[in-house]
Amino acid sequence: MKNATAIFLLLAALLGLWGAARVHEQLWDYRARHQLLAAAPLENAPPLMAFTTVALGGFRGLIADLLWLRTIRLQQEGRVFEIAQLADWITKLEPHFTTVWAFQAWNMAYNISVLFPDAENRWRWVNNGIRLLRDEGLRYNPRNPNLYKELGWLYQHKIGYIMDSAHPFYRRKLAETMQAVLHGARLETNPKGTDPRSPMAPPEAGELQRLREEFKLDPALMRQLDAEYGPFDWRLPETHALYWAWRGLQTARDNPGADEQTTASCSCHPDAKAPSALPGVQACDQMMLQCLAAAFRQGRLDFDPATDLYVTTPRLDLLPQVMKTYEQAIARYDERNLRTVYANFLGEAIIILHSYGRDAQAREIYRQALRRYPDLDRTISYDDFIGANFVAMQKDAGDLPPPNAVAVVEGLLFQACRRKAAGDAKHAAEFERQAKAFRDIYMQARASEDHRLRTGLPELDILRRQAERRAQEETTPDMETKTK
Amino acid sequence: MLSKIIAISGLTLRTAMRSRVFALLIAMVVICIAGLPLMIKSDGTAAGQTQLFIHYAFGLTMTLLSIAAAWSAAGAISLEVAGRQMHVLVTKPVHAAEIWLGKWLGLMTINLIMLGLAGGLIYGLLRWTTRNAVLSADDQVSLREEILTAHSLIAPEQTVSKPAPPGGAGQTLSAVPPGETQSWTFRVPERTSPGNALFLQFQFATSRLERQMPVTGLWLINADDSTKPYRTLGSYTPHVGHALKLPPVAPGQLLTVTYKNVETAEPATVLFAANTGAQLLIRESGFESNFIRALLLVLARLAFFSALGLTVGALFSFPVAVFTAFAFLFITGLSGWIGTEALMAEVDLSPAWLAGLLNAATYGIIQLANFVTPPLARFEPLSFLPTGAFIPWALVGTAWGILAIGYGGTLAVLGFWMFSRREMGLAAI
Repeated sequence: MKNATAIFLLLAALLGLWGAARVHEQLWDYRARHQLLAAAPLENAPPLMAFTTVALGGFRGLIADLLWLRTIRLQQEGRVFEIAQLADWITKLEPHFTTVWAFQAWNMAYNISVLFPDAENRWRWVNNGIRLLRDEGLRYNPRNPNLYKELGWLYQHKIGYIMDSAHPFYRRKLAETMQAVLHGARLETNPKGTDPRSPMAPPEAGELQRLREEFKLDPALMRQLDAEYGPFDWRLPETHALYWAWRGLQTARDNPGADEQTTASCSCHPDAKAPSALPGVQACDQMMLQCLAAAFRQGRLDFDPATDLYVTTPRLDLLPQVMKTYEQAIARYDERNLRTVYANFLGEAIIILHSYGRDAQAREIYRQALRRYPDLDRTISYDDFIGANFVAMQKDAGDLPPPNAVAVVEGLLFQACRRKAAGDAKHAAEFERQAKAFRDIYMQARASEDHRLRTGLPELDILRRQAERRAQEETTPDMETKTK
Repeated sequence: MLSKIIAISGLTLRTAMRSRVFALLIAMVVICIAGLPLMIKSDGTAAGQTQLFIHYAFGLTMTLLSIAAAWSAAGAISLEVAGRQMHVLVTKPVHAAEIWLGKWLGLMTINLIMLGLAGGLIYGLLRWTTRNAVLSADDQVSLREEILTAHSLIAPEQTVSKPAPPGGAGQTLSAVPPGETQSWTFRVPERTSPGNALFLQFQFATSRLERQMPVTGLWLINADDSTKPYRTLGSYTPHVGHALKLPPVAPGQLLTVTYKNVETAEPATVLFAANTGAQLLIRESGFESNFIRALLLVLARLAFFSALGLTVGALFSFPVAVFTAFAFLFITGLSGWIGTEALMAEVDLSPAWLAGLLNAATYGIIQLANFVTPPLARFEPLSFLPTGAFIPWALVGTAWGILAIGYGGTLAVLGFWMFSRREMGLAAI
């Protein structure tokens, strides 16, 4: 009798559970339809996390606060071994609070990394920050353009910019990793007759899988980005920043209104010009423009881990695409600030084109700029503009960005090569002299070792080899786009 | 008397062994500790992973066992009173103190078994996750020298720097302007084993506004018997602890350590704390003996929680006793925070008299809590073990003296008295 009662109760419980499960879906739909949910349900969350977020309810915030306080204390004491774990818990307790994801990733990449004097340890923390956003943050917030932008920022600014003295190490590490996976600069399709064992052969299935699973890069989307705006060198941090900003834009386009639903973006960036202060979509757009401009200035990479060679030079062929994208953005946003940024970019492009001897193209852009910007002083001729800019660059050499200086020096050396090939030794020597003089002025403005480490130029011989290769490539069409 | 206490403790132990709660507790401890390495997410280094595992495994063990100790002790007397088993015992010629002590001894035996099991499991997993096949030789050496060890800090015998103006920051800070030097002398203790690595631990601040911009410095280390000083040039981040491995030095030697500020890129004055800016890190013992001392610190706090549970169980019914014990456990867990930050906190509101009143009241309550709760933070094994810091036997002795004998003894006397006065023959409805 006792057993029969137990079996009956067990069956009743099972029946009740089955009934509740049946009703549960309907209730969930009802809550969603009538907007009774404070936040959208978690997607792709493991069962333990889904349970924790539901079971803790309002106490999640309290626990997250306590963990956050502990993080601050440990960080102040320099005891950082626990920070990654605490960041993991804090973000999982508030998985939809994108500011938390952005802050924790930024904290690891920017604040904790610099606690270590050696580049290897710093790189580990930069990577920890990237992984937190890329592998976890985007997994739980796949429709949030802000998080794509924050991830792009880590590539663009932390790895790509000169702020951290260890940035050359970060750049090399990224290039080494991507080169190992891609077998080169970009994702090539397998041309017929390529030996798959060759180091330059396209990536195999396992490597494509690594791209997807470890780096969260979708090969199809990489190809699409290359086709629309590039092709790009995927060993460069700016290309990764471009990819994530572009993904953010796509996400926002596929999910209209997602940007408005998201929480405020992270205001932790020290750089006031950072795209962080803007709404997600516009920030992604701005990041794309910055990265495309960077690809024009320094999108061609010559990298050899064996000799520690890492030189970036301009991708002149990208200029029309960059200009087109700028003009589309200006049409979309119609902002004074964006027009000023574009005018500055055009000025830079004119100087770079002139350095490479492409004066016809540079003059045409100068004319376009005068047409587009009525406020510009029309009494200044093209030649005066070039002369004044060269004087200003040499006068303020200490503040000149390294990619612009590399472009000028390599451009002058490129012209020297061309003149030498044409048998004009006199002018070739003059361009050589100008290149050397410009490089010397630039380097003399960098008295401290730290300044040289962050912003120093490669040796003149290295830049001369780049210029010679470029001159050779220009003899055959379409070669310029093929970076080594 | 002793035989009665032992008999009661045996009964307590047997009852606990037969209970499902005990089996559940063992299962929980085993599952939590064994599953921990799979769940934790460290900074990506072997050292970080090991530190995190020790920290969380030990923290988890302490939390689980403290709760279990308070819970089981609260029920040891109160549940037997409710279930009338205690009536059989108190009608025999047994004193209330003997019952209390017998129960406490039985509970401590359970605590010892549980702690031994958890400790063994933590140690086994630690060895398994840091075995030769898993880690590189460099990682092994670094772990052995920095974390899986027990080291202590030796303060300098003498600090040689420019005389500081009286009453200024120079009393607490030693400033090293660009191009200048600062020296410390250390006597290498005789107990130091010649084969063990010596480290110089230092931390500094700079005069720069940018807090964490590295500074280039030259360290010159000279022992009595060395002809040429050991030199090492490096870039060091301010506000972070650094450990510099020194060349072998014989015990008893006088070691002169000099720091030269050679930063040229962006010159800055380097500031060392006068007493703790640079210290010598020496190996005191192996990790295993330190681990055992850490377990003994945990056992001391379990002794206190068991005494607490028994005393409140002697006075109240089980639910009330558990609530009281847990409330006290919670407040005790905050003792570190109460003793430091909470005492300094102030309410700022208007009118001022209300703020003053609230501050005075809060201060009084916090002072009372600080006075009543045992200083658990002082005997916190997690402050030592994960960083490889040495736990002196004196600290273990003090922990047992204060937690088990001082607080535990006071609770025991209170428990005897209350239990002896408790009316057992109340009519049950």
